[in-house]
Amino acid sequence: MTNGSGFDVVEAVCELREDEVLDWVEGQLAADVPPLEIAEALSGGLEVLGQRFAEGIVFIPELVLGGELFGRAMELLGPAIEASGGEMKRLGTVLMGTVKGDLHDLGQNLVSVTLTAAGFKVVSLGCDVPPERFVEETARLKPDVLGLSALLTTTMQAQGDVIEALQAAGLRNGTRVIVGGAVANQRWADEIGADAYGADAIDGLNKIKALVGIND
Amino acid sequence: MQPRLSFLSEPEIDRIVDGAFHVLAEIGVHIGSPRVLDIVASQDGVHLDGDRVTMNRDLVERSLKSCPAEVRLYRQDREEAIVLAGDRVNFVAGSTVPYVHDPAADGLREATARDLVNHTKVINRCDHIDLQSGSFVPSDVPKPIVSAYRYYLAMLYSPKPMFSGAFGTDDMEVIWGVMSALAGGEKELVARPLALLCVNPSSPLGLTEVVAENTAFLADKGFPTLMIPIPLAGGSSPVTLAGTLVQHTAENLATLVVSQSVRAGSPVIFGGGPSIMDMRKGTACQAATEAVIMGAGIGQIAKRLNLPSSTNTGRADSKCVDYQAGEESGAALTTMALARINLIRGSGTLEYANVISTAKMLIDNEICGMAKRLIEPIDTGDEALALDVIVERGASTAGYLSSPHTLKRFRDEFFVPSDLIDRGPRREFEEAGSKDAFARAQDRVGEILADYTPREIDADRKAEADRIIAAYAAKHGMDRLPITEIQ
Ligand code: B12
Repeated sequence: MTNGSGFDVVEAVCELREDEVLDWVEGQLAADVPPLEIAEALSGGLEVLGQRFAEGIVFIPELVLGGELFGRAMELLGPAIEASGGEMKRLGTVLMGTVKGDLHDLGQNLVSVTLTAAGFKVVSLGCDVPPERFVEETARLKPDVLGLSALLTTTMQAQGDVIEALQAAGLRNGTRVIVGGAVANQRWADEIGADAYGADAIDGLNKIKALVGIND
Repeated sequence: MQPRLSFLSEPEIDRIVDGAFHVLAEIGVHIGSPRVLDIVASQDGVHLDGDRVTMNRDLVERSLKSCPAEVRLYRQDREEAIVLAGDRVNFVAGSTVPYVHDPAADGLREATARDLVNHTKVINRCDHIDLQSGSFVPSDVPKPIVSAYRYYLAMLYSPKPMFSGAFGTDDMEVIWGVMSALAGGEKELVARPLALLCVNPSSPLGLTEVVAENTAFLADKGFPTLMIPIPLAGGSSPVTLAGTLVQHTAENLATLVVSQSVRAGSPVIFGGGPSIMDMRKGTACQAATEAVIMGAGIGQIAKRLNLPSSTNTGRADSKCVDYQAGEESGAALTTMALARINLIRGSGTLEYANVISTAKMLIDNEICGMAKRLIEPIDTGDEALALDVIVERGASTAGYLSSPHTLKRFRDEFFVPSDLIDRGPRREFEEAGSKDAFARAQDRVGEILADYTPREIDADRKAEADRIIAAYAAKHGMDRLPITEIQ
């Protein structure tokens, strides 16, 4: 979006010009532009950044920094949005973690930043997360989607354990579950009753969008 | 002159090693086992901050001094040792993957115990591969027993020393039992290790409960431990090669302090698989050029620390056995040999160590043979210089083919690859069906499996190993394991 001064916020977000973006946000607020409109423009930037990542033009560190820049801009906007009685619409909330006994955490991390950059609210519990913890956090955060990562033959069963624990706690119906990691596959997802399998970060993003009912 | 490759000058190695000391003294490592934490905390030079442990340089240097400079491993069927030390180069087959490359099944299939056995039979015939490995994680047995069952099967089917790692602490005990049974007792096993186990510090700077416990377990037995941190530059370590090597060295040193705190003098191997996170795809590339550079760096750092060395570099990232796979494993295995790494991992693997191809194992075996030839010095002794021979034959029409000098030296002077490496005339190539190396290797796998003769093994030792693995399988709900006989 280009405002009167000719500032292209989409390009500025994509080029990670943080100071300029934050100045622009403040300027827009001062000029009484509705905060949700400002947020909309920022999201547009993030979306283009995500597209460029999928096309191989933007690299992962840039994607991560773009997500962080967006977060800081939203912090500036937060009070104004609240005051206006509005609510920032997010694509959804995703809770993410690597299952108990498994310390491979780069995969879930990468999926988390990819989702954040695409506009999801993501809470990552890191690695070696016991089923009880997933249940507790699911009860507390009520995420739309729970993402479970496992890279070892000996820990993949824990993905099934989490699904069972959610069921036992009566939380299974409110939360879609997606599994991923080097040893997981569609057959395994079906076997343990997960709602989806994500082969990599981009596939995960697309599957999660489908789970929350976004088609693009 | 011994051909040898260096990427770092002595002062540059100093900067990396000093950097590692600095990191250990400043932020140290996380140790996930309270029991092991207590053992380390009783050392002078340790400072505890919750479950983080910082270590001063003195302690680390003391620990380094007590580590042996060499590790010896033994085949089940031979007296002489395979030595990991100094400039020695040994190759170990790639390990622990869930998938087997199978062109008939769209390129990929979940591996079974049968795949592991077949692969092990092929490794037996790979003359340039010194150590075998638990290649596949079989999908047809209960998940908790996969790791111990791999040791059992691989050690039944091949006498070569076995390398792999335990997944947890439970299976470590069972693996120990199986190895001891096959060695004829625990004392015999420690005196002549028939296998090697690894521990994997979790980058950045984490010795998890399993790593700490298993390091302590092996140290307590006085059994060799291969340390394998896998920092991925830009993902779990600094994006720069030097920064990643600093962190990687610190992770090795911290593990070694644990080992030496449990029992001074226990053998450790300075190893690892530092690589990069691909910044476009987010994959843990194992064959990146930077992995090769850092692998060579490990060799130099290990030598400075007077420890045996190992690297993962040799793994391929390609999804199939193609030119890319050949380039990746070829360049990495050769460079690691030139860097004089004592134990070079990765042959047979594809897709960043998620897949193994048994046919590729055979081709990689040829590369390893060539790499071993490559690092032999050029003999410039009188006979090799061949002045007499040149004077006698150089001006005659007889040529050199009929020279006694040729007859005497040709078998030793040249490395003779198997038929997998095609150097023949086009006529033979066409008569054999114009097959490429991969197709030839697939044929060869079939021939090796068809012509397998079961090896002899002490019946009492096998019975004891059978008993241990059967009890473990029964505990996890399996009455009959898919394979327990050598056939
Ligand atoms: C780095 C690494 C380690 C590091 C991890 C450090 C860390 N901070 O994470 C260390 C050294 C600690 C380690 C330890 C071990 N490892 Co390891 N490790 C790897 C390696 C080389 C790369 C993993 C990685 O980071 N990949 C990069 C990330 C970005 O990719 P990813 O995790 O696959 O995630 C992507 C997708 O899978 C997907 N995804 C992942 N999770 C999720 C979740 C959701 C919801 C979705 C949608 C998608 C998704 O999207 C991601 C992004 O595209 C793999 C090899 C491999 N090919 O995977 C072996 C590997 C996974 N490890 C293996 C093994 C065996 C071990 C050990 C048991 C070693 C041993 N002793 O033998 C220990 C176990 C430790 C433990 N308890 O967890 C085996 C597993 C085999 C098996 N069948 O179980 C592998 C395949 C290598 C091998 N052949 O030995 N390892």
